[in-house]
Amino acid sequence: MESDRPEHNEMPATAVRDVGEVPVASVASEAPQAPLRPGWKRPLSVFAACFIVYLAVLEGFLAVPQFNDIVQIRPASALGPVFGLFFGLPGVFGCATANLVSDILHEGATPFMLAGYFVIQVMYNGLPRWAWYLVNARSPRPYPRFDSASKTALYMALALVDSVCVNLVVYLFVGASPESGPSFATRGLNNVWMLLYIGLPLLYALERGPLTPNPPRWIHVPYRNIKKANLTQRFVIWFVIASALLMLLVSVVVIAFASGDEESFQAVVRTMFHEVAILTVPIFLPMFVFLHILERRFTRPIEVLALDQQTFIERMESDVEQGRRDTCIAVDERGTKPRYEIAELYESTNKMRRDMVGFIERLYNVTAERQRTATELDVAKQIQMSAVPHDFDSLTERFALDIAGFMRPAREVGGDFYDVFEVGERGVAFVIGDVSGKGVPAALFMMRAQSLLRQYLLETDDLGTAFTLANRQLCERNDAMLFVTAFACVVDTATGEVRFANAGHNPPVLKQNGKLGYLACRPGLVLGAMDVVKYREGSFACSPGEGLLLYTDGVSEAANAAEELYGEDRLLQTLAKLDGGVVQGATASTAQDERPASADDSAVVANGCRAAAASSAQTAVNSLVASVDAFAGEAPQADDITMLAFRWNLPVARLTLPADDVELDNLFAFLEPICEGEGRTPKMMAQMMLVCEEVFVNICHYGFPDGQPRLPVDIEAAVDERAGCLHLVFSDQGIAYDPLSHDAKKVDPADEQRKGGLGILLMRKYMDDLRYTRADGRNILRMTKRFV
Amino acid sequence: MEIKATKNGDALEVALSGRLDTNTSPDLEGYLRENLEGVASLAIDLADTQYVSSAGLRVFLFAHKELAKVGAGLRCAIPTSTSPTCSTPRVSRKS
Repeated sequence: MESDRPEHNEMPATAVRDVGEVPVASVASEAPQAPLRPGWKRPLSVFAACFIVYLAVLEGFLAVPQFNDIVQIRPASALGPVFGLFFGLPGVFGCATANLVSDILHEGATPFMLAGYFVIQVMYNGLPRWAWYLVNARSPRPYPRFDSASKTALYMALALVDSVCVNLVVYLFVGASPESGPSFATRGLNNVWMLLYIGLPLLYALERGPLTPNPPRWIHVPYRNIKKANLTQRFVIWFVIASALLMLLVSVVVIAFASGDEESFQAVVRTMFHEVAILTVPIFLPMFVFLHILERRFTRPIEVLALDQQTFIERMESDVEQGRRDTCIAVDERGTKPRYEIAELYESTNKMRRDMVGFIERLYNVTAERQRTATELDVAKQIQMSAVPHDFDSLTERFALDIAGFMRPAREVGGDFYDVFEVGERGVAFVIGDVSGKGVPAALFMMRAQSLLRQYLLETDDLGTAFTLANRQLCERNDAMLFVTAFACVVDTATGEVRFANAGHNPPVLKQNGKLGYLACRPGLVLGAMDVVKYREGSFACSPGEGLLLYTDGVSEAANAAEELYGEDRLLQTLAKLDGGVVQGATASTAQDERPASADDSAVVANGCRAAAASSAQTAVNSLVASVDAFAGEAPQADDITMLAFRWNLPVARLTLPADDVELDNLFAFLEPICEGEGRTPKMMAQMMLVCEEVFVNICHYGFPDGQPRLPVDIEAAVDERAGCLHLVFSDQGIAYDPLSHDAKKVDPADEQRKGGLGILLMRKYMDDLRYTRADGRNILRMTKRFV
Repeated sequence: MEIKATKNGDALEVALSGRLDTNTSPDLEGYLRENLEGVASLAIDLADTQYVSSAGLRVFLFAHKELAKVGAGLRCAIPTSTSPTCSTPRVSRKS
């Protein structure tokens, strides 16, 4: 009778207590485990409660004379079976005992009769219970809960059967005459009614309430109080209540209008009973049919769908994990045959599930693909990062060069590169490049450009030629029409000469003569554009302590949220701030002798070496990076940022002298410690003195014609122990004069003119490298001497 | 720089000790201007001279010119040890 439906909220493998346990007086979802054997307390209290309630109701209605005698409106007749059904034996016996007590009080029957009545009452109370639980012995939900039409029908049938049986038995027991048959029939009807209109709602209330029904021993399924009433339950209860109220209304009306005549009243009531009885059938029968249809076609399929939906994703996930591909996506109908709108609901649910599974699969594939791509890009980034040098220690040890590099692509990979490598015996090459565009295409071209430039710079002495040859190669097989700007320079670590070539790249920052500016170089065309372009080399002289900072336009064109650009000016300012700050700090840190801001007349001998205190290449790069990042703020990095800085890192000793002959002794005193030391000889010292005397005296005598203010002369000296040479720089503010512009000719001793002459001869003979430039109103003469 | 002069009749012997550079050569020049009258031969002893720059050489040339006017000669005694200025003989004797 009971259809095998899945229960609401009943998940398998959740807290199921041991089989055989009797549930105790608490809601299954709340209380902790109770002892196995029920105590005697609960049955006793149930017994007592049922007893009291039954007796009260019975006596109450007996007190109303119209409700008694033949008419027998006895609501108490509903209580017995209901309490019995719900509470079990305590309920059965509680009510029967109360009835017995009432019988004792009113009937005045023999003990035998009383006993008989008692037994009959017990049977009446107990029959529905045992019949119910017998029928539902194998049901997964055996408890008296009217959540299906069949259960409701069962109850009503049991009510009928019980009433008929008990009245038959009583009839036989009391040995009543056939004439009193109708009154028994009336009694029977009364029982059925009460069980229906009062018993059913009462049972409903008990089941929905906090109390737990007490099943017989052969029931092993634990009780679960389900909080929500399903459609059937709601429908049944409202229907029953509504019809009960209707009957009540009819009864009241009839009773009110009936005359006080006992006979006619009884007749009226009897008629009422019969009519109600007759009406009950056409009322309840359709209800059952309707309920049954409702259940089969709507309620049950919806429950099945709801249950299936709850675990759908879980099942899908576990199937995917285990690699099963044959899972059923559609809702398991479990025997229901959905029709009408429910069938539509099933169809659309199945479609949604299929679409969703497909969508998730596609998403999964896309994610996996993206993951793969990201991993490949990671490796590509690694390759690119390792292609540019980061560790310059070997170069720093071998040559007096302080080098720092930095590269940060805008995406995982970028189009910028820099390179540092040895060229020849004492040259070091610095290369920087910027491929058009960003990302993977630029990165691929970058690797090509970097290796080509390196190859030609190593093979070819002249940088212009190297660029020309590299350009021709890059133009070949360049279908993607990419191009690259590049700047390369080679530093002669012995003399400080820097040769460079530029191909459309932004000129590097040059630190020279204590000032920061941009190197003046011809721009040149970008590499990879036209294969007929010829590049030319330029050069300048670098003094110890000076250097270059190469960078790409990712620095100068870094944009902030307001789309302002970082700019070349800001770049210079950032670097200038570094030097200014550090030099002052250095002056304070090196011992006591303070160097005055502008050395006018007083000559001060430089206090040891201060080059180490000047900002290192790494500091410059770090501060520039920090400055660009601070400037850009929240704006995303628009272009690859690359920097390469180097500084000729020789300790520089400085001296400033007034332009006067008498200072010559100070100059010699300055030269003495420099010319002493490893690798240097007294012969070398004498040669240096000769040359320096010539240069200095020339400046004093001829640099300031009458009327010109005599400005001091700056002398810098640096020793490169590793390269085994000595560098000197004379910087004066006299009139423009290039001592190297005159030939070293044989001097006629009669020749008094000092333009050229012996001095020049000496310089050329004793110094290995001589360079002159005129900058900022100064004559700058750089000399290099190898240790003798 | 110290100038030690010894006069033997018309032969003048000047021994220089120290450095002969731009600042000190005027001293020698001044001395010679005063004392070359009637000198038939001049000998300059540079044994104790560590350094002679072109300024010093000019003084020698000047002395040489002056003596040449009267037919006299100039003799420089340059130490043969490894004095630094030994490497300049070719220059210093240029004439």
